[in-house]
Amino acid sequence: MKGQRHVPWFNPRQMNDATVLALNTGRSALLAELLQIMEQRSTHPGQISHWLITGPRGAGKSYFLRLLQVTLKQEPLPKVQLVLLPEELPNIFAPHELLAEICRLLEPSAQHAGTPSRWRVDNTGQLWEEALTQLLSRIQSPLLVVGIENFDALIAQAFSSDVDNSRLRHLMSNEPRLMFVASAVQGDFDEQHNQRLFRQFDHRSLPHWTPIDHRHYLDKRARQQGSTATAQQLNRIDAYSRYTGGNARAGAVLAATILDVNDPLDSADDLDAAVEKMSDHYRALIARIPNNTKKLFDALVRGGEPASQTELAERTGARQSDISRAFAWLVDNGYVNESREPGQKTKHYRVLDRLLVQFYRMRYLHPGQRSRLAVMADLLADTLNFADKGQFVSRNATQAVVWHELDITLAQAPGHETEVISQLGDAVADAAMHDSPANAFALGLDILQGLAARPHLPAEAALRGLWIDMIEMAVPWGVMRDLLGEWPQLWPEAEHNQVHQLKEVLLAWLTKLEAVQTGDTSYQDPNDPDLVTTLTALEQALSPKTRHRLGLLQPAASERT
Amino acid sequence: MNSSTSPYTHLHFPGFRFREKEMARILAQWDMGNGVLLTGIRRTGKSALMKAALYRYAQQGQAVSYLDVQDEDNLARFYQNLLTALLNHLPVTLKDQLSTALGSVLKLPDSLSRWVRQQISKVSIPDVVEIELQPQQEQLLRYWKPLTDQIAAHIKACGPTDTPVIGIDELPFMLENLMEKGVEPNEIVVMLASLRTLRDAGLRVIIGGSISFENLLSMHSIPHTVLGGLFRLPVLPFTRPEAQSYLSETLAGRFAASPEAITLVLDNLPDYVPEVLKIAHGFLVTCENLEACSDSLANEIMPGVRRAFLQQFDERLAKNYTSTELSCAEQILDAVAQGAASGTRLDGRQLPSGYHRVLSRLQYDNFIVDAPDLGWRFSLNLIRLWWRASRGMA
Repeated sequence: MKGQRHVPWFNPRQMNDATVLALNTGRSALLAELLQIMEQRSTHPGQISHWLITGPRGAGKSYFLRLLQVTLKQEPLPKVQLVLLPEELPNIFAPHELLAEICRLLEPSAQHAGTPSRWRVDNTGQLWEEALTQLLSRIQSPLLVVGIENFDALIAQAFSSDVDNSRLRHLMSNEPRLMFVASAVQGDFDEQHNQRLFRQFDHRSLPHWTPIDHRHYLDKRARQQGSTATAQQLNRIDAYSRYTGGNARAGAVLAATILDVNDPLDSADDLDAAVEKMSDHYRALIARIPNNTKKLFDALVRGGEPASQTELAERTGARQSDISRAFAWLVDNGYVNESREPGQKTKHYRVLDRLLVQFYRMRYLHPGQRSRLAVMADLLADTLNFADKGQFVSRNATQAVVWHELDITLAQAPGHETEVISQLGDAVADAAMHDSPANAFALGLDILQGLAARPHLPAEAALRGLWIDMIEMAVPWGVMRDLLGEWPQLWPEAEHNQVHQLKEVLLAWLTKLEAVQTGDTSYQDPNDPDLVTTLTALEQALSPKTRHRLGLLQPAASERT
Repeated sequence: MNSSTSPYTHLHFPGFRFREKEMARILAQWDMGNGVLLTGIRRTGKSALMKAALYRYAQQGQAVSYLDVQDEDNLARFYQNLLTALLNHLPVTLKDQLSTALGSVLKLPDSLSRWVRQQISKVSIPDVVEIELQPQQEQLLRYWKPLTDQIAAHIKACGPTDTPVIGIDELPFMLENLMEKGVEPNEIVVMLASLRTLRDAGLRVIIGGSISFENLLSMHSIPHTVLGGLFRLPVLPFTRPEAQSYLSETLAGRFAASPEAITLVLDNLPDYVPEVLKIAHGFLVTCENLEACSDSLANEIMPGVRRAFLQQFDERLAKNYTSTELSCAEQILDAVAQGAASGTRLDGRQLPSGYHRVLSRLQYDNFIVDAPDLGWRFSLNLIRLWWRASRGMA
């Protein structure tokens, strides 16, 4: 298939029909359900229903309406006619003007520009009745489906009074020949109990893209550009798909970055680029959070995820009952996801859109920094967590993204390679704390394999720093010992003598520290005085707090209190 | 305002079910010549029940008419539509009698008289556009009472089964519209009283609304006597077996229709209001295993239910109540929340003076509803759970 050069990827209104159909990703089930409802409505007049498609900016609402339009053009339903209103409706400020606009677009051959909004409308009731009579007389089929974007804005603009609200509600409740398929970022305009227009729509949120959807989109988009996605590119989108929160726009931005750039080291940072391109969206998402709820969102991100409501209450100095209402807002509006370990009662919460978390950290927690080092541990732990839950990602993809991130970080911090790799001990500790020793081992092995595959990096210094960091972060002794056991496969002894000498030192050190910590009186220092000196030197590299924890030092009076 | 009188297909929704008991009660009331007032929280299916009952009655050969008046803000136009619906369906003999009486007994201005006679003698022929006279609205308002008195007298003489059943949906919204537009309360009282006159004479009606009619009257100091004689029928949420059937039928062929999935969903939904089930259905259609159902319940269905039925209560308390009223409201809600879910009596001695007004407001705002044995309960179990959680009672 010949590639298209100028595709308006993010403007479905300007996309040609073939491209709309070719890029359809993760929307087929929803579309099929809608078509079925439309068919039912066209044959059973009493079965009145209207659809409201909701989703954050970039979820694909405009695209879905275009997909509906193109699908009906390709395979028309015999009793259904569709009119798709313009994306914005700057000439509709009174109820009857909506009906007039629908009427105008019913006859596209006329192509007149429509009527500007009246400066003053005195008799809305009569105008509404007249416009409705005219519209109904023009409908040629049993069912006219009207696609309207940003329906919430239309309500605020043209149906703000109770009576006007009721006019629309009356029409929606009683007119069998009309069906609205509307879209809005949120459905709250239809969820106000004290408003006339309450739950008149069947709400359908656009499904989040799954990792498979991300792959499919990348593949389709590559074909649109006249190429084929490589295995590496598919692995990358697969791994990154965890960070988009299923947002189609974010997925598309990532796909574009991955397809446009071949060398990962030259691509700057895919995730940072995606966050940057969507910063307006994320700012708007954060601005929408009510103030008290914002405190909880901040505490969740700042204090670490996942967290229970009890933990959040502690972090904010409140009782759980104080925060329950404000916290429910985050769940009810799709910001955080609830999960519960099998057999456990406590519910844990985590921000769904990981790019939003990265944005928040980059802008508010570590402003002005590139943030890579600060977020690395979390990214790695996230990636591992996703992988171990078997959510589609392959082990190779996990490794790819871990090292892709690391390569970028290292490239941005020349001369600080040891420091960067050392800090990865935090990620191993995090995995051990939040998941399992097995996961911590798997992540540690990823890091070692990546290091072994990059002979230009100072392996010995990096490994020493990594172990010091893991001890600081209290990675389980067994995990660290098991990782040392993998060294012969990674660094063959004949070629990496110094690395193996370090391994023996670290093994001896782990044995000593574990014995001291557990109070094992049978432990004796090694016979080799040089080794004893080396171990003592290593211990000096540990922080006083860790030395206290391990029992190498008695705590200072101030710390005891 | 549109009236859907004939044919009745617009009142027919093939998917309507689970309201046989309510339907039987409504039809029995009409058979006895009585009117019905439907009550219940929003989106519990009152309008659907009204339409279904009218359709069922029409299928039995009875004349019915359905008026949705939620967007009506003109009293004269309401009278005009009501008269049209009523007079069109009177039997020929009664029409003749009424026509004669209007000419001899009741002296009406000429234009109004001609319009009324046109309504009486009109024969509906599908697809034929009739040239309608329009009554002068001031005349209709001025002569409404004597006109309805005259109609009532004739209806009474012939018996209720000769008159149509008229469904007036969203009447409380119309009242709000009229008040908003500055219509004097005494005019509204006249309207409601004339409706009662017609009802007392044998006109059978069914009245419904999204907001509590009774509380609206209380809020505006309109006596409840205008609602006298109506059979008050609460439209309750579905029972568990009904909810089970609903989900099984609407999800047929999908994983979520499996018994274990249905049980999981019903165990987790706080209420079986049709709209709650509809929200659940919308998400469950794509759930392909039990874990997906569970995840959807936690992250999609219950958030959707809370957004639709809960958030506004929180906002309403914060915005609509003064600090004194709020304190009283909290005491009332605490007392109800501490009682049984099925309802509890309130001890007025423990509440601030004037608590009745706040109680009425809470009822009007749909926080609480009547419970058996002079008690009160939350309108939704969801609100009860929310209130208990946020007041440290969980």
